[in-house]
Amino acid sequence: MSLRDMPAEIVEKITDNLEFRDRISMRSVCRFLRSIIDQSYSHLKRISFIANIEEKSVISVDSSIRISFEGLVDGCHVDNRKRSENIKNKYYLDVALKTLIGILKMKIRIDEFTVDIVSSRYADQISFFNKMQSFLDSRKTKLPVERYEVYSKLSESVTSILPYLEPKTLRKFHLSTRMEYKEVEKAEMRRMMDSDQWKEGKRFEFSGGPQFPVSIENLRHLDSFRVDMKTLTNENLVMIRDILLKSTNISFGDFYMIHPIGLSAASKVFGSSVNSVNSIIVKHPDPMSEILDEGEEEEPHPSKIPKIDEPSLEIKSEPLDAEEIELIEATNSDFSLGMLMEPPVCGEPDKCDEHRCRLCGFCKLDEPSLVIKSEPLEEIDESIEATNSDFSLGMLMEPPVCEEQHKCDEHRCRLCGFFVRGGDGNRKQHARARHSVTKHLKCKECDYRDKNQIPMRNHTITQHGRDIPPEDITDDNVKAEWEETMAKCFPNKIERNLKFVFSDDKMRAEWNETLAKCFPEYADLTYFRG
Amino acid sequence: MSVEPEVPIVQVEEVRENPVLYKIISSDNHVFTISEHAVKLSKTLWDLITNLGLTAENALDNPIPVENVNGKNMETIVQFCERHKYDEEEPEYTNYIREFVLPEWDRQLLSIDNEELFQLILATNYLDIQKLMDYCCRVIGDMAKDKTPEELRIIYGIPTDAEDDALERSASDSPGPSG
Repeated sequence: MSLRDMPAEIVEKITDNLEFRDRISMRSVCRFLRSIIDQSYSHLKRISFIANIEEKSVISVDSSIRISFEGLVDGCHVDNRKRSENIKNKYYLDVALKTLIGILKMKIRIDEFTVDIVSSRYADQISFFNKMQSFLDSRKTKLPVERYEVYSKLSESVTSILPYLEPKTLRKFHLSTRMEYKEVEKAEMRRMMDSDQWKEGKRFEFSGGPQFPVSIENLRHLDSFRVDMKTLTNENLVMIRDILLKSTNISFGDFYMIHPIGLSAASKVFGSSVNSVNSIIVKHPDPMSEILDEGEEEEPHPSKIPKIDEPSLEIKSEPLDAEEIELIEATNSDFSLGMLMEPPVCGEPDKCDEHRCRLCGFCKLDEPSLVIKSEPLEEIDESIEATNSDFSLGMLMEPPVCEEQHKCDEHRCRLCGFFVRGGDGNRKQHARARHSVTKHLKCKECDYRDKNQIPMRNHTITQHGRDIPPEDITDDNVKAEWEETMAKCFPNKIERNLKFVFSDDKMRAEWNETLAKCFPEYADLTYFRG
Repeated sequence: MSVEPEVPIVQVEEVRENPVLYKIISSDNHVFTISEHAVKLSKTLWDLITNLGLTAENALDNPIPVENVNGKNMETIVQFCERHKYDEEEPEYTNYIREFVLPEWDRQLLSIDNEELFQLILATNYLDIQKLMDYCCRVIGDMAKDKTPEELRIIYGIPTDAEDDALERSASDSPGPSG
């Protein structure tokens, strides 16, 4: 009698109690066990992907699995607890990602999912997030994760993973970033705040970054939050205090300050406005004794609570100072509580709902027609092309000049995240040199093949003693492979080359519809007429 | 009430509590005596007893035959039930992972070879004793700790898929008893 002869429900019971590592081992024993293990969820306490040293990344699961990947000149070194091996001609990150995706492909629930790639190369980060996104996108169900923790410089860390996590299970979200808040990032953060994942969340932690990424109103549904910023402006301090005062949900917020001046300023701001339910911890890094727990402060008189409305620019940029806080208090004390949320005149176009595109969260103060033109959305991009052009038929869709090529999506290689400047030729060359596997140059003397002229020349000189020009064996197969690689690297490019635009009534109707979706207030105006 | 005597032997301590005793006959005709509290751990047996309408008076005159369990397993099961009869009801597991520590006494009870353990599990499954089931599964699960698939194959006596296929093929190639 063996395990195989047991009824399936008993075997399931046995395997349910196993640790993840052992479940994987069990799974590869035989088909019977595999089918049983695949039936039920594996429960992971913690899975982390860490790539914070150049050319090295580590995947660890609970305490039982730890696999490290290290980049070598000609491949990658994989080290498991029990064995280690070298894999030739593979980039370490690709191998690591493949492993991670392999784990995530299994039926699992995760308590804590950590991604720390803040100090790896820019291109690596992009490629990581792109691949994760395309994998998560292909999953039928959303990934059940309770806590998602990410350390990265890119806004992709939020956009490429968070939307694919199960909103019902996601409770905590930790964002540690030093990303720059330009329009694209702002729009992405706004889109994040509209997502179910954000709305169902209970705790938000944020550290780093020059600017607080979330607006006050969007923190109110949380149970708790934590802010850890090196520099906090007065605006931010008052903002955070306002959340605490207004929210009924928030039971506590940790509040870490690193700047020494900030400490006194923060305690000034908070000292007078902490109600008894909310406890704020203001922590000073050097002397540990300076930790203040102000949760037991008495409740302040409501009239004393200063409000800021439309934070003025001078105050924003000033260093923290106690006197200045009083100044804010004095100047802004006239404003009523409600004004912060709904300013009569739109003083903050980048926060006002009316100026916000419902589809992407992008904001713009100008006339709606201009908004549409500056939309980053692709479909609209195309429509502008069509309206601006004199041709109504058969026009190749190519934007005249791309101003920000180092950021433009069209210039970004999807495989490695590298921004290829210049025209189409450069992109083709990039795809061929970096990502194509075909070697179209052949040595005339032997079977050596390469795709590059220079190694070819080195080969002939070192092996055959003289410089022999290589033979070009490019044929249709090779060309097809190039096309394919090109399509992988720059998918937009290919699509666009094939697309012809017919600017007709149907299309205009569609544009108007899109406008109505983005800005419902302007839906009755017809901008695109025949 | 929940404090248990040190002695694991069952029959001795029953006297002081004036227990209701039941008799169970195993498949190889061994007779076991088990107290009411202990027999309640087995859902199958307890259902049987209530359905048969056995009471304190007629319990000992009507032994319960259990065809699917042999004497050796029944002995282990009776020992286990008597040991745990006063255990408090365990709280429902809300988490999907069941975390508990296997008590030393039970570990020793279950330190038998695989063959017997699997037999015991089948018996436990039939008698529907939740706790013993959990413990047995745990013991089997513990064997798998930090093992490679190859090692597991040996531990659990499982053929590889290739061997399995070969076996099946030879079985289907050779003419079966029916034709």
